[in-house]
Amino acid sequence: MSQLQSKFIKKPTYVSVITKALSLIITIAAIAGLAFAVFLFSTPDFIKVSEDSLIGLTHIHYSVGAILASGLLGLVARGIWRYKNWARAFILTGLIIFIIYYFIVIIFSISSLVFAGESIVPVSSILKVFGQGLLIFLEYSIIPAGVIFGLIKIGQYFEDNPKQREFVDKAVRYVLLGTALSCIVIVFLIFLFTMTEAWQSIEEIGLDTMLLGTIWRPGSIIGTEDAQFGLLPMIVGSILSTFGAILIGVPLSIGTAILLAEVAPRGIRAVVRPAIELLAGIPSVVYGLFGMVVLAPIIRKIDIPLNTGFGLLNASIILAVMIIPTVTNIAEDAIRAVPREYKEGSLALGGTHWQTIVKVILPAARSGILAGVVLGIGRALGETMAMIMVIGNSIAMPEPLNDNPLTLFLNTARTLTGNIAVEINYAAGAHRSALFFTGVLLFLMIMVVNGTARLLMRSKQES
Amino acid sequence: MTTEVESIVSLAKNKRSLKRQKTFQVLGYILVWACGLIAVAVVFWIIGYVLSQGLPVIDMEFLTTRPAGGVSGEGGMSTTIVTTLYLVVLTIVIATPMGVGAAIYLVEYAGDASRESKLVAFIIKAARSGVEILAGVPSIIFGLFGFALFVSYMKLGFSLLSASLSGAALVLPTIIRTSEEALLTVPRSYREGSLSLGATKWHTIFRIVLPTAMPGIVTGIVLSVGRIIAETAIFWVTLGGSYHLPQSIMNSGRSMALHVYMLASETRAFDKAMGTASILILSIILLNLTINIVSRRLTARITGKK
Amino acid sequence: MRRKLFVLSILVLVNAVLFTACAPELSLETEESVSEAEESEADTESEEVETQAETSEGLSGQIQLAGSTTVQPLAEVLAEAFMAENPDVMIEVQGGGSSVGVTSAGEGTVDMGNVSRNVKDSELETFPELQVFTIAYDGIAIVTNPDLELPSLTVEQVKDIFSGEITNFSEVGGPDEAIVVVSREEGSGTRAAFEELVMETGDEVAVITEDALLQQSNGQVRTTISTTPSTIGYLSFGFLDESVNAVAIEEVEPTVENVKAGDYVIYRPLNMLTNGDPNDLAQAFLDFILSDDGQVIVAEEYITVD
Repeated sequence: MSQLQSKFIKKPTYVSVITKALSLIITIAAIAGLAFAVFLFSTPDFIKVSEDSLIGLTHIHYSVGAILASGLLGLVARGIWRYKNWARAFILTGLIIFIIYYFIVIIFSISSLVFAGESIVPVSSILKVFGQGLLIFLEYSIIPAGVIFGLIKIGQYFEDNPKQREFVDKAVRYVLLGTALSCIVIVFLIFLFTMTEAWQSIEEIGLDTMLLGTIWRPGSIIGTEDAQFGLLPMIVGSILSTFGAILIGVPLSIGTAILLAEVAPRGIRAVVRPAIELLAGIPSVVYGLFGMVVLAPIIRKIDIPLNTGFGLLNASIILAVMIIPTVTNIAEDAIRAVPREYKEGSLALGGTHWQTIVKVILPAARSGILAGVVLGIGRALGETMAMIMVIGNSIAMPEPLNDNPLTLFLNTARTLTGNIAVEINYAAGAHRSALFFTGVLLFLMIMVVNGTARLLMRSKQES
Repeated sequence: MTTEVESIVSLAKNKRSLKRQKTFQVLGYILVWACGLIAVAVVFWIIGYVLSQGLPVIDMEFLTTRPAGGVSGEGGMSTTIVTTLYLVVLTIVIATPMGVGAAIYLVEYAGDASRESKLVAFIIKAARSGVEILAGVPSIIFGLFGFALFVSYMKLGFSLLSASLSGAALVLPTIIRTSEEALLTVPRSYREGSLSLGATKWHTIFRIVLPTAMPGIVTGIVLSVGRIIAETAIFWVTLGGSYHLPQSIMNSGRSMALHVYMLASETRAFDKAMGTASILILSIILLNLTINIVSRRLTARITGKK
Repeated sequence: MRRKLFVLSILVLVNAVLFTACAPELSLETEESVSEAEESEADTESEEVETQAETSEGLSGQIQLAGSTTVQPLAEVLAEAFMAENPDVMIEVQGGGSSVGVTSAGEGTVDMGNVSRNVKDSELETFPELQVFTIAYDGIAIVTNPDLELPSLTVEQVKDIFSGEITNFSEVGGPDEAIVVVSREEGSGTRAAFEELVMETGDEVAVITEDALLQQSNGQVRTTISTTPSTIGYLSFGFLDESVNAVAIEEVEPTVENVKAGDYVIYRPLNMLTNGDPNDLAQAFLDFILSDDGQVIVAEEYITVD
């Protein structure tokens, strides 16, 4: 009701009881806060930093905080007395937060008791603990819940005017705008933090040494001289493994895309497509595990000395499997997007289905398929966990194992992503900065790759 | 465009080699079928191998015992399941309001706002490209970012909180994208009808548009849950590896995917690693099924109501 | 309406009274176990019950340890024993390598850092408040894949193998197979100790070959060597088992007794570091480790401090 109405319409007794009681309780809390602040003023170690405070809070901070809180509570008490809607909303939010917080605390306690031991406790104890937890939660929350319920019920008696509604509208708009900006803020933060951490390495070690140097011996025992930070072996490792992945994975993906879009009957499609989607969901550790346990012994069967089964071949195969869902999906979309007239025209002129596919549809879908491949490259470049499990992580520049240049892929290597993951935990000083530089390098590489993919997709739409 | 026309025309000219073309076609079909077959075979091989090695290991004891830590590889995976659950819930709680809010703004408010002022239009364009950029960033970069910002700078240490904040950044683009799509499928008539009845804009959004778009938004959330469960690199550097159950959000823990990694590399308990991996794969399959069912209901709702 | 309000307020009052009067706590104790405990306390036969009741008074809290993967399993076993006697204590142990131990102890990210080598002067310069407590000694064994049998090696030969000078096992009395070297990442204390004791002996300092497969922990080294043929690497004594072959050095077998006798030369101290004086809980843990109970646990796989 409007401000005018709210002043003059008589409200039922229970409404005024609730509001006046609430107002009183909050005023008492405010006074208690002030008393606490005054008490703190009188303690001897007023300025000393309390031992277990997080950010070096002194008693000054605490008492100032108490004074501010008391002031706020006083305003709320006055607002409730006068049936202001904002005060009601404030109390409601506070109580809801309290209940949710306590709920979380109880959940954590229950699950700690149940799960934290050597093994999960028997079912009877679980029920018992659950019951106890429920009881305690009810104890703590029955009063706030009652107050919430009461406040909601008497909401209609509170002031409500267009100015308020406008304010809420505007507030919602700005909050939502804030969340919309969250992504760009995160991108900015990522760039900021990684760049600041990486800057030290750019200054001290230099871009040319890092990008072109071939030796990576950070010597991370603090203070060791002659540490070397050449990233070229990792760059080559990333590029070679991605190249192998594209070589193996792209033909498979395009073939499967053609199958799904043009050749396969409906029943087959219903099996193949979900299977490919499943491939996308498998965690990368499982791929790594598979590469370690299954692929490595198979690759080892190639009887060349120094072939450990780990290395670029293993990595390429795993990466190829990982990019199949991405490339197949986009290629299939691209093929389906080719206008029917092309296909019908070609068939009408006497071409076989296959001729149509190869000479008409694929070229028309060219940019879309390329976009898919480029996205696959981005995915392969960014893969970490599977790589550190199968590629061997050696710091040497990959070279063929013997005269046959193909054995290059049997050699072990290390990727840029693997470099970060393996060393970040203990790196210090310039070493750590160099790892952040690796991150920045990766970030830029992937941005370029993804930007290219987007350009390709857009040009396809336009043509 | 012209090259296609050219090739169509040149096809017309090459009628004599029809028989040859027919053989090519058969070969081509075989090739394409082979590709599809290989792809599907690989799926079944990987999943089949992991499940066949892992399922025998799974029993009630395995699921309810804590990992014994160290290099013995003994024990089960009980705490990792609960830790993963904590992680998922915390990350979704952080990411969903931000993501859905952003999507709401981009769909409902951005059109009018960009018409009003050039500055706002520019900001919105920046926001949109922010989403696209973030979607392509590899997870190790998120891990690095989380390590630099949450673990080191804000001194949160290796904890559920740092991991969830980093994870939220990871899944934010997914949630924004799917929510945007879901909101766009709500017919204009809904909004216009509500506004014409006198409701405020945000009332319309929260009471009418959002509930209608729910299935699509839920799909996005379930997709993100799948991503979080499967992710390792980002939690490797923000969560730590303690095999104890985290007693608060400031404690470290171990997610299932991390547990697979640690079992596989540190201990030689490959069977247990396969067991944990099987649980992971089964969860992902379950989630995929949920997504399929929800999206089928979504399309039914749209087509049915129309 | 009035009656409803009346009933409601009575309920609220009753609840408030109950709540303040007997604040229940979540616990697993059943009535039976409580009475059992009372019975055993009444028993005057065993002194152990009395001493246990004494030590379990008062110690509570949480400490975090991080660092060497060599010390990690030992620290975990010691922590379990300590926590069994002090149930309100939580000790978390993480890995990462000895350099993590130094940095996180020095920066205060953890309460104690684990290091499996001597602390370098440069590290003491960077963190002047570091205090070092030696809790055990550990030997480093040279291990090969179990299919590979090697005769005793000299330190010089080991150095040449790991630097890449010797490339085939036949050159040192083994089968005709190309050597695959397995090593640790640079932050590893085991690696640093190995480099100091083997690679830096003799006239020239050699570096470990860059073709070596690099692993991030003792556990990973053991896994790789046991599953990959033609491999050789170095491993902490605490990780030796039947899955790898340990090679004799200078005709001396790598055993705890031989290290104690001074015959086996490749060994190093296991240290725990704190920044400044250790806090109460850390001090209690250290006292426990250096006491007889703790050293008994150490003696199982490592060498005690005396």
